[in-house]
Amino acid sequence: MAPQRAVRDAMLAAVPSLRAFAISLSRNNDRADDLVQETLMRAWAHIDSFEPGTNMSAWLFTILRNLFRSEYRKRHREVEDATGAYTESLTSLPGQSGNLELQEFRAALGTLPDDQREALILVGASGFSYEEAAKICGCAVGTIKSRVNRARGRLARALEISPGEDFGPDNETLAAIAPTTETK
Amino acid sequence: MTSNGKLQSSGGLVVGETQQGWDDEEFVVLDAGLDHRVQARLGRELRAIYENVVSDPLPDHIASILHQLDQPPKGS
Repeated sequence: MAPQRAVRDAMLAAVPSLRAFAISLSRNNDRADDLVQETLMRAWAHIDSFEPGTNMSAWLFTILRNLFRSEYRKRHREVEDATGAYTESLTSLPGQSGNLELQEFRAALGTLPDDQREALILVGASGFSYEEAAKICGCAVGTIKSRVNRARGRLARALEISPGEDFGPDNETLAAIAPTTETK
Repeated sequence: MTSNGKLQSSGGLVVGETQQGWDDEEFVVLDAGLDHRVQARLGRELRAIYENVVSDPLPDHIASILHQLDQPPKGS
């Protein structure tokens, strides 16, 4: 049926980004892939509960996040705490370049509190609006904004980035992480 | 930012704020005291890391799941 096919295609299109989000959550590629797999199975099994016309990515991200929160995080917390290997697992992200700047960024990202890193990635990398990110995380829009903001501040301090450096800014990258800084 | 409150998408990703309005509580958290260029650099690096993963080939078992989804759903 055509509608089913469209829904399925939307699911498939979301998978690479879903996987990147899973890796950022679990900080472990194997676990991330398990999460993605289970998310896809569940989503497909409950595809009738997806409302056509709504954001498929947001729906899948929500399922994956709930899975992670309910199962994986508890299951693996002891291991992570024991090794303290947040940074290490982050730097093992596939496809990484040898770029020192990015390696430092990755390490700094790994030091963020989970909720801040999650919010930053959803808004700054996955391309969700604050409102969508809030729905995915089940919290208020203002909470997401606050987390993103604090994450940015922490990263800037951790990386000792100062405005004097040459950033070669452009509007797109600016928009990626600083969606709106207008104040009244 | 643009005057209509919307931001452009880039590279297939819709970035930033979309159409929703602001709640009062949200204004207090907007200014991290960061220079726009600092934020630009953070955004650039974050997305570089993310895109590295997004562009990674899918592992075999995920690809096989996707292949299963290619089959018609049960009952149709």
